Amino acid sequence: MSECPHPAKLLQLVSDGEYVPHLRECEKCRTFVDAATKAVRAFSDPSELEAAVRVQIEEVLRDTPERRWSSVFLDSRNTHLHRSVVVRDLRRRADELSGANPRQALSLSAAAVNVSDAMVAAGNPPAPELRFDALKLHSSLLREMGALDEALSVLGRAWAVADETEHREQYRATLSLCGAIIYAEPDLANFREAINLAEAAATVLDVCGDQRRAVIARHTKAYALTVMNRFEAAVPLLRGVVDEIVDAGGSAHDAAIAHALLALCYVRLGLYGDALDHARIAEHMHVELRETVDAARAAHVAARAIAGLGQFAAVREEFTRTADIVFQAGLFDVWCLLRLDYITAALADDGGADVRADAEGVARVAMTIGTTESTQRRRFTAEACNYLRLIATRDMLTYEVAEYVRNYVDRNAKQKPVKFIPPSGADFTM
Amino acid sequence: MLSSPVPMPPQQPSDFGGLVRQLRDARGWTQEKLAREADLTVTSVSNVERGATKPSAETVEKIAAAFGLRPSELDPRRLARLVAEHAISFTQRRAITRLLLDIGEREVEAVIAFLDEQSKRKPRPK
Repeated sequence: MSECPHPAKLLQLVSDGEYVPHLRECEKCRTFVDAATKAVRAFSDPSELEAAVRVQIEEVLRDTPERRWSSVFLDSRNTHLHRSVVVRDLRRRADELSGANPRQALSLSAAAVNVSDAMVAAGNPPAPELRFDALKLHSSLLREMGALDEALSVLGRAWAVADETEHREQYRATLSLCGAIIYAEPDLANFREAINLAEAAATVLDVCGDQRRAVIARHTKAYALTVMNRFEAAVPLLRGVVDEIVDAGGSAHDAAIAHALLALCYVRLGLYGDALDHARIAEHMHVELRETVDAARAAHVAARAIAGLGQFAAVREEFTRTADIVFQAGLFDVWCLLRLDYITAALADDGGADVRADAEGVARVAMTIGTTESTQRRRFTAEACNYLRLIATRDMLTYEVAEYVRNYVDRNAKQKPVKFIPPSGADFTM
Repeated sequence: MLSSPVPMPPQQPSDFGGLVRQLRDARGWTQEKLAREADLTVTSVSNVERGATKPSAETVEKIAAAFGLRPSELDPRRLARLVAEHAISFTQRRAITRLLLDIGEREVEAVIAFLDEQSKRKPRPK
């Protein structure tokens, strides 16, 4: 029997009305041509066939408890779903769900990776670009769920797949950027590595013309620098990011976040006028996007800038309004930080300001927050806030001590938790 | 009850939007796909389907054209019949899809590429 032609070639020959002698002797190819002919009559474009596949995937998911989604496609009755079209669909579903339901999204991205792996094992690997995309998304979702070591391990697998793609350097640079984002997570807090990876990624992505990711890499580096309190180094990077991000294809949300981070840097550098400009831009953009909480956080930075300009009384209510929005959104750890900003600003304005009730409130919330933060991180933050409360109760709270506690809590939220140590020289024993 | 030579779908909403949704579902189209075919925004399609807005004559015309119909054919009775007809062809499409998936990876991808090539050659609906 003659060798089977590639299905695409066979389909083209049949479509062109060519006589294909091989079809007389090969039942498998005849079956394919028959099915393909029916498919071409039934579907007017690929999206209709993909929709029909989607229905079959939905049936499997509907009949399976969510905890088994990642492995159900490996069942022997589902081997017909070991196809690239299925990997693409599972990956797309995971991506679409990532914001609303990260846990379900993670199950689906795991399913996409498992199907892809099963196809590799069976000798029918999907295109390396698709395998790469499935692994990259899975790593990103693992990071979102806090499984950082696993996220890095999946990136390692994607690194090997990147070698098989046509644009190896660009794919590897994309992975470097993903790695930088993971290393900048508070539970890893390896900011030097994050900076190195982001720098390397930005250089290659610039050359490859992937401006959007290059800008994200510079933003990531700038973020890592701010956590290391290197605000002077972060500012020029962020100025570049806010100038480029929209033209580079970045989202308005990303642009607003960059303006807000730049505003924070200016606050920390005491450049309150510049801080106010960028905080207002960020706030306006978030309002346009109907991102209420982000808009409140940007407005809060603006309030800090105005307080820094010596007009604390004008923004006293604004501090409360923005913190209330954050509290209502359930971001209690962020609320504590915002109220510590308020206490610090109040004491900077008037060293004798009565902030006892505010300190009491922060300590109470810090003790009871039920956020996703690690227990140890929460306990340390609560200890710091309780210290502040005790000092305030005894009318011993100064601007310097409030700022010390505020900076500790901020640092504790972004880096590995470290036990709170009261400021040196503090004559108060807990 | 409508009398019809074909089996009726389980739900027969009398509202226009509900029928548009059923017809879209029966074709296996997403809202994005219908929006593309009808040259509407996804929001418009969503609003029509939910009955959130009364569609303009132009919108009705565009939706009809996307389904290969004249606007006058977009009455609930006609639509309900079409939904039923498409439900049958949907079963056939399901069987074809399963057959293709059973054959193999290269074969599925070849058909997808072929359909893609074909759809690019087709003139876009006005």
